[in-house]
Amino acid sequence: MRRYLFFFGLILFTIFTWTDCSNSYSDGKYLYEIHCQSCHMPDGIGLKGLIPPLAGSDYLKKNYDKLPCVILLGIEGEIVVNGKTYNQPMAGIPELETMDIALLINYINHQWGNDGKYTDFREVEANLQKCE
Amino acid sequence: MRTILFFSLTLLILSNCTEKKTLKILNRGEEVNGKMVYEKIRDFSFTNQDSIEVTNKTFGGKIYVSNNFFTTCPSICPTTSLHMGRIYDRFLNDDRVGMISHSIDVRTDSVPVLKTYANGLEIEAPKWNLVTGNEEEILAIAYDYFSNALKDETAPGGFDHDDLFVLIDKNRHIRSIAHGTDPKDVNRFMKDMEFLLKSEYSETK
Repeated sequence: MRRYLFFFGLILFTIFTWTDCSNSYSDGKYLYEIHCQSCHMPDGIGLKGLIPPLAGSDYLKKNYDKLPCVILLGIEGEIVVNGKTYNQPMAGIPELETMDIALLINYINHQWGNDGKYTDFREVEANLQKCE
Repeated sequence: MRTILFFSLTLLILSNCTEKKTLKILNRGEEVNGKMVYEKIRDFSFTNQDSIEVTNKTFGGKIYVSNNFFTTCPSICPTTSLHMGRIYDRFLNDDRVGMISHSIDVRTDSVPVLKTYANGLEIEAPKWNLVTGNEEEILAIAYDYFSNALKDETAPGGFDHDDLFVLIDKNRHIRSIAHGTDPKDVNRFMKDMEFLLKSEYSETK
């Protein structure tokens, strides 16, 4: 009996640690689904020539410091992503807290094959000071 | 013996399934002099992204898909546009199929704005018409398509509308509906379109 309990516990433990590991950006995922997914799509591919992709996007790397401001305040005017020009205004998400923005950036930077930098609260806060 | 029984049973079930598939007219119907008469899409006249008038005649002899959107819609529209785009790609070379998306924000979405949006979506009229027109008429015709389109300042972008795709047959009757934000539902909807094409054009093809 004790042996069964032990194995049962072991299995439960494995499952819990496993799900924990594979979802290390799960908070950001939740925010992405609420705020970003309907335009940038669940797989981050964007929408043709209207909405730029996040998956494999060079813009994320080139404008790393600007990302917090873009997410918080939105963006207008032409931008070039992976050589393609986009010109559809994006609304900001003013209700986001600094920590939320950090979680979102970390999620996006580590999804769909992206291998961007890992940001944190302090860095996002510093970058938010530079918003225009 | 057993296998034969099994096969005939399966065949029976399969043939039953294929025969059963029908697309009923979804509009409200009434029996008049022993014949069913259904409500249908009213007369309309709107303007598309190329400044060309789009009316019921544009879709004469065709089946068509209708939905509502607006170019600055921050919530569901990009997703519905993505899936309308799938329908566009699938039926691009089939002249028996038309598409119409009504912009419910007629003040913002002028013809040039619609043209820019169409270019961004990489789509063209006359296959897919992004239309604008009289605001009251656009909001009113949504009712005929079983859809909601209302001005609502509390909604994202200032308008409240749903994600419905509606399939209209040659006689202006609604034959299928899908949620345009649900990829699987849209897959089913496209199958309904294929089925309707087969049944509507069976006499000519």
